[in-house]
Amino acid sequence: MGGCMSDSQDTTDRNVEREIEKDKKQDTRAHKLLLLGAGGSGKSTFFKQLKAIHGEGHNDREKEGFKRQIHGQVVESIQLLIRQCKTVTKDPLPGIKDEDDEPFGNDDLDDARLSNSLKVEMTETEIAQFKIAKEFDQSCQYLLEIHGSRSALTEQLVTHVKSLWNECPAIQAMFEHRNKIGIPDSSAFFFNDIERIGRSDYTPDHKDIVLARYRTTGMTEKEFHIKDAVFKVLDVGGQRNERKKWIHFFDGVTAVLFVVSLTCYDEVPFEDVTDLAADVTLMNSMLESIKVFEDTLDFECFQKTGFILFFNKADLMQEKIKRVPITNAFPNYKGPQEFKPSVDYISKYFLSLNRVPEREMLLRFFFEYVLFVNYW
Amino acid sequence: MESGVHAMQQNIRMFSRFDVIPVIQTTHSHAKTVSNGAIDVGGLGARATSNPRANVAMKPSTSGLSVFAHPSHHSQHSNHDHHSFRRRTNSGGSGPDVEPEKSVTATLKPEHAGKKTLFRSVSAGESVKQNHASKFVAVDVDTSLYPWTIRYRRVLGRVRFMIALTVVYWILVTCAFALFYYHVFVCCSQIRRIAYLLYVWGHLLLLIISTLAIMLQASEMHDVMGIYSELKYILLNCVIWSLVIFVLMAIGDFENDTALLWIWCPSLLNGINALIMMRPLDLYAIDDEQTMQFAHMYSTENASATKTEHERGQVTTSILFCLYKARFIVCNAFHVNPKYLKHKLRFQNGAGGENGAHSRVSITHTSHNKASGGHLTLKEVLKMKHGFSGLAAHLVKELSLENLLFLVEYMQLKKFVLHNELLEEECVKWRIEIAPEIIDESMNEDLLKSKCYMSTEDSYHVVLSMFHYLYQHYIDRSSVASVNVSYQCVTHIKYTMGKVFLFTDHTSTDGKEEKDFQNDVFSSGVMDMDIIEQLIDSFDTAALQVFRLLYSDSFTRFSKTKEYELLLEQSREM
Repeated sequence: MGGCMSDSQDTTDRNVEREIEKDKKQDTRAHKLLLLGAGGSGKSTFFKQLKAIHGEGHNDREKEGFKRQIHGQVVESIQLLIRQCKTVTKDPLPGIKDEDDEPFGNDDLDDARLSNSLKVEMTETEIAQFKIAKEFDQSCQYLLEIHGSRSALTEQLVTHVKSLWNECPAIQAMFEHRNKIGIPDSSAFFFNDIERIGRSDYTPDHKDIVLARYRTTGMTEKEFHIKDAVFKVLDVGGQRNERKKWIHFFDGVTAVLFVVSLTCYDEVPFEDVTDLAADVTLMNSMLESIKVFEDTLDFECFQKTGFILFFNKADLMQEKIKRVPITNAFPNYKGPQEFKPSVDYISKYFLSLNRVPEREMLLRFFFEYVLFVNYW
Repeated sequence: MESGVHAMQQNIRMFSRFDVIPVIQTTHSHAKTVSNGAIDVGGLGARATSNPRANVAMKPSTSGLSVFAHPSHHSQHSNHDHHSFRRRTNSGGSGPDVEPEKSVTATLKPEHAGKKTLFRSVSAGESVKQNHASKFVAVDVDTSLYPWTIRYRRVLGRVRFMIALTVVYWILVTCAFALFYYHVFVCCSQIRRIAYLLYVWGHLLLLIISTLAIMLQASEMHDVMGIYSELKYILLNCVIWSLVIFVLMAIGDFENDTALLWIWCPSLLNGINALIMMRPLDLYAIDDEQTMQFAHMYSTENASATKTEHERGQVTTSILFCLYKARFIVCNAFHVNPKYLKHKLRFQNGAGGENGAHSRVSITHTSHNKASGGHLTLKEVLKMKHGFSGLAAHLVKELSLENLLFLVEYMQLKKFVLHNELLEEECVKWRIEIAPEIIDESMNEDLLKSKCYMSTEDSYHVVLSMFHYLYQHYIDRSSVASVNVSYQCVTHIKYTMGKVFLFTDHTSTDGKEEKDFQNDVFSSGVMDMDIIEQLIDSFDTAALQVFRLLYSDSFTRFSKTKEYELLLEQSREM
């Protein structure tokens, strides 16, 4: 009897051992690549593109998922826009206050902060441009009442979003300040195409998928076979709390792909988004990126690991540099307000952070649809 | 007494058996085993309870990349490493050392070890106070602080007791007036008459005026206990009795014998009012077993309607059923909280037992009919037990379990709030249904059973401490298991929490803070349900964000896995 037991145990043991061996073999064969970077820098976007080009592409179910994400993004963005407009103009948010209760705590807080900081910076006329006209009240009410999980776009929702986006100057004005309130750039694209997206038989195409912005939580890994080499790419979330989990993947990494968004030098990181009064020179995603990069470089495991720096969103940077100088994040920058010298400066700055001279550092730039355009 | 209090503390502190951090910390090494089959959240939870202290003892600095501070201890996530880490943190603190050997058994035999550790931590209760872990122990159930009505509520709140009280009162009043009648008032009938009138009408007037005064006040308060409706019924009672007395006076010619009848009226009136005011527990809140019986009987009655030949055998049960029905009618007549009954019945159905199984099946059925297109939404997945555990296992692999745990624990909190009638159902707002088995199994049993002996004040404090726990675990940015929510949301929560707890952001002055926190909760003494509503409001936004995150990110990936396919098949078969 006892022998019987031990026999069966042995076989299971052996099976497990075999499995572990197999895993080990695979692990050694594959190159482990870590995608790191601050929140919103485009890690997952990069991951998606990799998948589309070197993986098996996106099947129907995944497309279904992306459709949900796009719909969610549209609803979330428009809600944020409306809410911010109302906060700035101190319009009471409908449906949140109880009739008989004291004012909602958040408003107190916001009001206090607004009266402190915003009044100084903004004149009445400036505030007035964010005032949403009365005729849109119904749309706002409808949109604000939508709860998160019901993100499917109905016809009614589409018309509301469309009228708000196309006809309401306040929403447009607020969108211009998207860097401060954490609205992704790609939302404009989806708003403009809202009719196509809202159709019931809509399936997202490649462009839509790449443009969709959503926060990643936790970690995903995927293996890519490129020619003979096997790459195991790990995609992680970039927000502050997600970074606490990074430590779990640091074992046996071949190279770190560090993604930096070039346009984030005037964007407020997701964790700090408050309202329009935010000061982008004090806290922006670029500073955050630099901090994360420094911390990552200092990490013991990575002293001999190669780093590949990806500068993302170069195309958007070309537009943005005309409006905003990079001195927001790099106060020492003295060069002209042009694309090439600015980017040069940023890349040199990042390279200078590396204090281990023998470490391999590679620079890559890529644009939103053009993958791996070598800038140099 | 002392140990009892500590046991209570311990129970409240771990109001759910999930303890996130060890799960997250050990996930990487366990990911394989979890995915291979043992998708058992209960097991996870049990293992998690094995080191409640180590988690909280590990307090990273406030910087975002704080984990970087302990590189060597984290690079490998074997169990052994975990223990050494724990020993290190514990030896630094003043608390009792958790022996690593025992925790090894904890991972081997989760059920046993879970109990053991719980027992151990209870026995070590006295020293727990000094530890960080007890920081979110807000509720010291020292009943001697409370007024006697709450202390003896278990005895007072019984119909039997109330009826006895009324009878005694009635007899006493009758005797007293009989004495007066034969000895004092013999001299002059005029005085007697005046005394009677004063007694009867003055009594009524006094009652009505005081009731109205209380009602005026109550209309300005946040009426949690439903006092307002009670007062209305008292007024109605007064009016009815005054009519009765009026009629009696009109008919009777004020002879000696009828005068005695008058006296009964006010005494009966008072008795009924007392019945309404004191709200005997077993009249309004029916015991769980009784509800079960009722539900059972209800079903048997339905069956007997079709099968008449069984009727004779069910005479006794139908009599019982009538009794229960009468009881329900009484409840409805008093109309204090019929919603509660409904809720209770529904909860009972979901909670377990054979009755529950039926309704659960029907719930899943409807959801599957909806999902015939071949897709399950996140809500539907969460509703199913297997769905939930599958998703949890998937999230463990992706290292984002804290999102789900936050949702579950928050829903448990809401359930507790509803269960203890702290708020009306509408005020609890956003809820998602999570598989009832999961919610109940992982929730501390004492919290659900506590209804009978926990006063509203107690449960109010428990809810506050739950919020504190949630804040410390999931919202506080320096916590290991903080969830991914926006800054606005966090500040809002901090702001509302700041109204209740006088806590500082920096946990450097631990002892002081704990004292502050406890003092604050206890000294206020007043229950402000608005605070709970506001807290719920602010946590709702966080929960919604987390839900959205789960939905748009993790769930999308989950829906590509084999487990999801299996789940889909299962749901189709059902």
